[in-house]
Amino acid sequence: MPGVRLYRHGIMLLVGFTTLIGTMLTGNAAAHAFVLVGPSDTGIYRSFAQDFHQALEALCHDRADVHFCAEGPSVVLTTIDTLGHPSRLPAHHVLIPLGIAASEHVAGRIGADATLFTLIPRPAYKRLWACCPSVDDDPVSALFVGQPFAKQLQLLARLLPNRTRVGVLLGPASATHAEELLRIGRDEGLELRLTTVAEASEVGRKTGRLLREVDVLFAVADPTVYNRTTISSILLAAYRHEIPVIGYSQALVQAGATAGVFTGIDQLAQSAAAVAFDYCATGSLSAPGYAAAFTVRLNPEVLRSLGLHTDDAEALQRALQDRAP
Amino acid sequence: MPFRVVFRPFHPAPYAPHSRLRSNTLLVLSAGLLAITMVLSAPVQADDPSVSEWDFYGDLPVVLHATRLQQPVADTPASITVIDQALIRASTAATIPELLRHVAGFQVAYPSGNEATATYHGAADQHARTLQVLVDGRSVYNPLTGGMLWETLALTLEDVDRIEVIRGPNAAAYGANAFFGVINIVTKDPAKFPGTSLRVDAGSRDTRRTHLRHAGQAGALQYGLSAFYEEQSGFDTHNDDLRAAHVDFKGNLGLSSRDALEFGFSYREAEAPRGLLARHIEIRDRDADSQHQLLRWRRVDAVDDEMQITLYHNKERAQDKIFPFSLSDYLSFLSGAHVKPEEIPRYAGRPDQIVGVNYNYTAHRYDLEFQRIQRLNDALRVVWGGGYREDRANAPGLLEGGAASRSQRRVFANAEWQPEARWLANLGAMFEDHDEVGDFFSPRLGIAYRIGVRNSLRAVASRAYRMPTLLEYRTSEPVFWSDGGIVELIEAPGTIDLDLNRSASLQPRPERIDAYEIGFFGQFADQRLSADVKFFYKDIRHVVGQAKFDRINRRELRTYFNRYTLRHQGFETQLLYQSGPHFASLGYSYVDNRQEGGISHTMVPRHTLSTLYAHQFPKALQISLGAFYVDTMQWRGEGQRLGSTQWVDLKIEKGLDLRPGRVTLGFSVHNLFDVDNATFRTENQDDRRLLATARLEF
Repeated sequence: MPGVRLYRHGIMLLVGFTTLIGTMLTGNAAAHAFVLVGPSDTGIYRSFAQDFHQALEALCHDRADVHFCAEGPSVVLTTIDTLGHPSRLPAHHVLIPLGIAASEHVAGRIGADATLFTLIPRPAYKRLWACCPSVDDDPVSALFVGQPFAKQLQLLARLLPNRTRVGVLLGPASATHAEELLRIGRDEGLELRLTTVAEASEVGRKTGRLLREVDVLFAVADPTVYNRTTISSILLAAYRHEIPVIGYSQALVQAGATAGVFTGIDQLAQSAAAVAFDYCATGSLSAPGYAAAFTVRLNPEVLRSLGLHTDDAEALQRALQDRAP
Repeated sequence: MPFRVVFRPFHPAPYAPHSRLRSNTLLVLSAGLLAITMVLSAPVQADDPSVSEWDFYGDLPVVLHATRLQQPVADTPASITVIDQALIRASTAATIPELLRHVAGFQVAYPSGNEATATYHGAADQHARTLQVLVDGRSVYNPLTGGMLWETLALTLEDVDRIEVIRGPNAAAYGANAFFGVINIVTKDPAKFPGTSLRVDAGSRDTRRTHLRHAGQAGALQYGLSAFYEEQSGFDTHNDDLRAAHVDFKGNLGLSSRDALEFGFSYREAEAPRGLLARHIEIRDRDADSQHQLLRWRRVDAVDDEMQITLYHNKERAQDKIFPFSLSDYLSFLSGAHVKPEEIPRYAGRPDQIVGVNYNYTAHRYDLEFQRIQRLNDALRVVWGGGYREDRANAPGLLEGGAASRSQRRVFANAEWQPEARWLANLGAMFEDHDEVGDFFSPRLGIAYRIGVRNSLRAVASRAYRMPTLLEYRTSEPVFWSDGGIVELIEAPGTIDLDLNRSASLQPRPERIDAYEIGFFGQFADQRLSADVKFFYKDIRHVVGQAKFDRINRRELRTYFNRYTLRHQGFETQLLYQSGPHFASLGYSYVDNRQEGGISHTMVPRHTLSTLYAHQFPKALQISLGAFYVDTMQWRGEGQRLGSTQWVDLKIEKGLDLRPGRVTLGFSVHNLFDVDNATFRTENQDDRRLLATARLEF
């Protein structure tokens, strides 16, 4: 029946055309997609995805030889909830879990060509590695948030060369860093005095005691110690004792820390894009570590109020870059 | 083909980054409040103690912002003395007015045992109307009498973080009445000074004081609560004992990383009788109470990007129970000589009847202000805003018609412009519209030039006004017969004869000051020594004076009119030295005062000197010595001309670490050598006084 045949041919043509269009739109099945998984697709996760996308574009600009640059793989930001349907993911993809919640969610569960954990603190990655051995079945690496203690203490030593008695408040999450901090401090010629707090209610009292013994406060990320509730008592007490605070995040410097060195979300996304790009181009993942890019930020008003006169942020950043291992 | 970033629909995630942190009558009231706050301060535990990405990329409130940060004195185009914690600890002072003696050019006196007056460059009576006094940005200037009534302030030294004293007019920033200077008291921030402290004082003149303070945090609320009780007897020559108690609460509630709500209230009640025993008249019991409520919303986006709206209300009330006095006593007081009523035809044949005055009053101040701080670029920072104020007073025996009110509308802008590192210009202006009195424009220009990193030269020119107070503008002080009728007075010999009709022209105009100064601020010896030196010239016009009697009305006890012109020129220095165990400060002021207006004695002391040396010995032992000198001056109003006064104060303190707290025991002596000094009036003998102090902090 010619009519039926024609109808069947028509259906086949339509399916073929649709497949072609679909392939063009979604990329070659052999090319890699970059699947970013966050606990949400808003806020820092969205910013990370946008910066990651832009960084890949920039990397591809002069690299037509890399297959996905020409073919255009997707950058997909999805959430933990939607990741419950793996069939919706491309067959070949680089999985990039963003943050602790997403990392814990995907660890060992979903097959991927490679997994790059990021927006994750170094201790959390270590914990993940210990708890979930399946993560090392595929190529796995990580880019940690923040900057290593060595870099932060180098900033302190350069910014305040005459202040060598360094106070550190540690909480339950950061107490394990004590030995490492003391060792790095010694290398920088600093005398670190560590105080551990068990709960947030101890922060005010122990900060007051510590500040009487030191001439600079070095902040180490720990949610029990530095959070929206405790931050004002720490910064105000330090300011009252005329003690500068060296921070680990942009928000901490903006809140009133004297200075800080950190990796911005854009810098972390660019570093992640570079790692993912290299994997797709070479097939190998670099070792877990911190982003090479970092920012030194000073709080000029606090410096001025404390009567401190230092190099500008750019000069300090250059100096730290020169020292970078 | 371009890359695509696909954002998949997001269902509410189980991971909520910010949910991890959940975060006598007065004595009974304060004990109750303390108990509540102690309960509120129960430990707050983080749910999840592990570090996450939010510790690095989460928001934090801007804690140290423009209004909290102290501007370095070298960058300030004004003469400023900062009384900080170091100076407070070193000082021999036990009260806030006493502390002001360390500021160059300040004179402090006691009109009675329960009143203090503190003025800069003299020209004051028991109310120093030429100084604006702020407590955490709230004006505590009394709208009825003017000036600061220190005895109504629900605040003690233990509550003070620091005091910034601007020695010069600054109406451009603080409005009318920031005339000779501004005293800006910053109270202890609960987050900056957490913990509990108890201080007990006992000493001469039956002085007993107890102060309890607790500050802590409950979730997003930081709070501080103080309770205070004091009693003392005054001068032998006055009816001036004191019993007073107050509570003060200050809360700071973080609403978000950008927004915070600050609120506070205080209530003070005092039995503060008045009257000079020898004068017979005006001897009275007096109950006074004061209170305030403050609400401030503040949004801080960055150090130099903030806005705030402040609403507050102050109320002061005095209830007098005046003791009866006779007409002959009263006429003698008016004339300064003994006068018998029967010698005066008007009263001939009448008995020496009982008369009285009525000093009861209630005064309110309501104030609403919007303020915005912005950094427009690297070189330019501005503070601008506007406000509305309403002052009301009810005083049947003091004001015409028994009551008065005045509203004020204001806009202001101050710019700090730093075109390059060495130059800093501060240009500001305030425009005010006061009911009845008129519109006023108060500009101020200051230029600072940095010499090196820590030294600067400055030049400042400014104009400011002092508004006549409601009492000066609407005064009516009738004297009453015992049946409530008003006594028609006669001219008594020796009273001032006002040949002026009672008319609008008699209502005083605002006082005006044009001030100029050049100064130097420097830090030397590795910042251990700071020195501020200035030369100044002030032209002060329309200074309001008072007369005791207006013969036109024949019933006024006092009347006010523009009477004097003053011209001050002089030199002033404030030195501070801190090094290891040593702390020293020196304030010296030389004022050449030219006055016109019919008074022969100088209202401004030519020399005023204050020195302080404190030494910190081992084992937390501190010894402080203060030496003071104030040249001859005439206190206005009820005050008198006094010869020069000089005295030495001593304080010895010993700290003891007793876990879990710290105890400080102190002993101080005012006027160590018991020099024969008078304060405010010749009969007010400022003799040697001892005070023992114990402070427990934990």
